[in-house]
Amino acid sequence: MSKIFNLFPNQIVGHDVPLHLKLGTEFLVLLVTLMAFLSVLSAAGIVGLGHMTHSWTSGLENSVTIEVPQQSSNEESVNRLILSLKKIDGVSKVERLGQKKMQEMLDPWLGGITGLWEDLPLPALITVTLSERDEGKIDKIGETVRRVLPDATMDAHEEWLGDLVKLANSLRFVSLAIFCLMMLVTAVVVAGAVRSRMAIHHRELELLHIMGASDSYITWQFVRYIMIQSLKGVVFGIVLGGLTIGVLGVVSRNGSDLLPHIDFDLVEMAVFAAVPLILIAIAVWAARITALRVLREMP
Amino acid sequence: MIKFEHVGLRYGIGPEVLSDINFTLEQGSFHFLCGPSGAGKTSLMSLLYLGRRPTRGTIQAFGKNTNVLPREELGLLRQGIGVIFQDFRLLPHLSAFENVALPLRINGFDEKKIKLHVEELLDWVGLGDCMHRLPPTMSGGQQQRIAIARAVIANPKLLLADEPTGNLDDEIGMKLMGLFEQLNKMGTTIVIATHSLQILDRLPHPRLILEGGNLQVFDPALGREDLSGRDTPSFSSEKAGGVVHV
Repeated sequence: MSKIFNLFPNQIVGHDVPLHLKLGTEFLVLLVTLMAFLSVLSAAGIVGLGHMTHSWTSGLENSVTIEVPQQSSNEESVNRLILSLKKIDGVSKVERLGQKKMQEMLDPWLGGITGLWEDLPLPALITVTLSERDEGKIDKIGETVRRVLPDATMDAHEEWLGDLVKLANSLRFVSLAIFCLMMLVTAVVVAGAVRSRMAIHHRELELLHIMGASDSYITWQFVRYIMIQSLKGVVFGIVLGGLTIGVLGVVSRNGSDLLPHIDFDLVEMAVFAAVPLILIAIAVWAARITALRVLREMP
Repeated sequence: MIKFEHVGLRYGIGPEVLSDINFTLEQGSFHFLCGPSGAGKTSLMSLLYLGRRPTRGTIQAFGKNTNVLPREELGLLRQGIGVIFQDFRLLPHLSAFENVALPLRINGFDEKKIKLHVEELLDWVGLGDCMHRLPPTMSGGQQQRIAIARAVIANPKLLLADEPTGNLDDEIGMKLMGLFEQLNKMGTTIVIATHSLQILDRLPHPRLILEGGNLQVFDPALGREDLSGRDTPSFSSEKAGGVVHV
């Protein structure tokens, strides 16, 4: 394992302070690996939730369903309603759900029992598709329905869509909160590691200080060390995260049809890979602030 | 160049290890710092190389009051001071070359010049053949020569040395003192803490004598004087051996 974590030769570090020595801060690579892995997953979770919500709501967002009870659903009144709806500006399509399609939808619930259809008080269902979801147009459709067929009811799927959006937003917020927490943990652990290494190398720091090394000269060595450690961790984290997403993608394709397939395009994958880079920025920032703060304690 | 005015130093809430120290080091002067163990030589040296701030009094260095100087500017002043520590304080993970190159890197020299100067100086101190060896693999004398080379490589205005000849044989010790004399003639102010009677006898430079945290001076040309509590004495190498002005 240690060989894997030593891909970057120590010569790259270039050090007056012997930060290349293994003195207990190597766990940083492991920590950043874990954080990068989790951040890839949380980013994928946020995007995946968007996909899932979209797949559940697509087709419903821009549509309204009108239900005409059987006692009012004679051909003439239904056709009159359809004609009135078609005249509304912004309505792109008005379609009555045919008997066959309705049977297909209900079959799984009724267990394929035939011969019952004539006895069932099935309503007439009309789907109105809008060019874009607009509350004003939905209100106008409602007015038309009440005017032409007062018994009919309209479902704009608001409740269903609202719940889904709430759920998706909550899950996104949780993912974001976890991501922020990971950043905070990374910053705190890096700060602790830098403080510890500065305490270990106090004599070297004092010598550099006496020679007139500026705070930025010394700080840069710690920043570079943390940058390299974080970079190692992020590379491993991205690889692990990518593999995990790939496996989840395969599993989802062979799993329930209720769950959408986990498929991300190249741009999304690039974003997932870029997200852990924030970890490097956070780690470097924490290292710099900590080192400067410790050095300011020197005369 | 360096002026101590009523300088006192204590560690924490302990007693003062240096009390009311007053003196001025003129540019180009050469002094020995003497005194028994525990007299405060190391503390005085640390004040001279601006490694700590005094608990009272003021230290003027290179014309600036270090008490009120921002940290960044103190760093720049330190770049003009070379220090040879008694325990060398070499960085054990760096080669002899890298150790000597350190002050030049800190001062921002380019690598070509660094290579040229460091190789030349290491040749001069007789370490040209082992410049890529790590200090722990070298003898005490060799390590001391690296420490000396590191202190003088950046041509400091002030050179401080704590027992620089401690691990050297007489011949190399005197050769080293010759280097210090040479640097002094070129304008470098030098303060050497030493117990070596041989060196003190051979070189008639003024001596700063610390006893119980108080400073006295002895100039071989003028005899011993107790200057503690008096106005700032001033030393200059303008006249042979340095002159005490009270």
